[in-house]
Amino acid sequence: MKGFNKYLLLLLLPLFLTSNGSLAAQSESSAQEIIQNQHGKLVWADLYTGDVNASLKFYQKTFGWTVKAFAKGSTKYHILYDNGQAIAGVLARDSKRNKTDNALWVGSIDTDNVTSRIELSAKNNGTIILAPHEFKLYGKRAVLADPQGAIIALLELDLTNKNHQKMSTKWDWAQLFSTNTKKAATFYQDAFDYTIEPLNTNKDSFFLIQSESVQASIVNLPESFEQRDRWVNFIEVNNITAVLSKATTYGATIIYHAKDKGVAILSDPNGAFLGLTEQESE
Amino acid sequence: MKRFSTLLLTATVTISTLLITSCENTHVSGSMSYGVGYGAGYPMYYGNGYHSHSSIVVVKPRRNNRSRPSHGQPRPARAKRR
Repeated sequence: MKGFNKYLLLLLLPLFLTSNGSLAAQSESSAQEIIQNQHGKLVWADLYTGDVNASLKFYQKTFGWTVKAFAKGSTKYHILYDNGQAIAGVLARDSKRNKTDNALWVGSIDTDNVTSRIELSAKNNGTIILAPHEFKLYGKRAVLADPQGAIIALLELDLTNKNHQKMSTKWDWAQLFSTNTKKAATFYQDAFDYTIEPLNTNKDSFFLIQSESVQASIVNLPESFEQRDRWVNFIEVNNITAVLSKATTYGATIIYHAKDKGVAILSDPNGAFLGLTEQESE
Repeated sequence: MKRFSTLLLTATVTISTLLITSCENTHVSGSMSYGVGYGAGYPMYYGNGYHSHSSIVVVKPRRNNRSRPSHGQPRPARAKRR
């Protein structure tokens, strides 16, 4: 009987190995599918701040996020975690480098090929701020300013790096406030391969479409703001009112709050704009 | 002495209760409003740093309304390049 068991195991071994292999291939292909389906979507954001400690404290207290530091010295990079899932990066920056803000959220848009998109951006009058580089945690990344000065990052997720599966999916929306929406729409169409959908008859507001989904919007920058294009990245929260209440307690300013739409924009104590959207019921 | 203190305490409680309940209005009339206490009309909610910009527009479709399976929309007129 023992001998029989041995032979049976030997016979079953190839079957076991092939089924395991096919499972692995299946999970890899599904990961690839997920990543392809989110090209053009805001998937990550980094906070560049002149006061790292103050920024970290604010986001920890307001959102209940935890923090972990990577590297040391001037290259120190902090990652904020929401319920154990990486949600954002925080980097020190010399505030003198930016004329107006002490801090700035830079959203990362998922893309198929960072290098080619950056080349296209440069051809379309974009300015490359950080050339394509390996973002060790998730893949390849680059930062650029569009022709009207709005700063945005591109992120090409590395399929072999499983860390990206631990990224939070709470980045919900991105909106560009622009001084010239048509010019901006044309740039993102040509360089990032978005399809444009005008929102009104004036054709001065647009949806940006990619991967068969509306991924972002472009609207006019109100005159009450400094006339400099800027992206605002929106993160999903359970209860906007509660978050705003905490945020103001810890020094933020509320810029906009549409209670009926479940949308708000705050300026954190260091001047970085962050959008909030309320979790939608299924 | 102890008896006197107890008596005094009981008398105080009884008189206080009578005084308080005599002021109570048990007849509900008129409208009742529940102030939410926050929002654009209540700057104290936002602290000193509330600067509402009514001209801001945020255009965000609901998650279940973002699908664009066949988007054949025309491209906008190209802005003149420098």
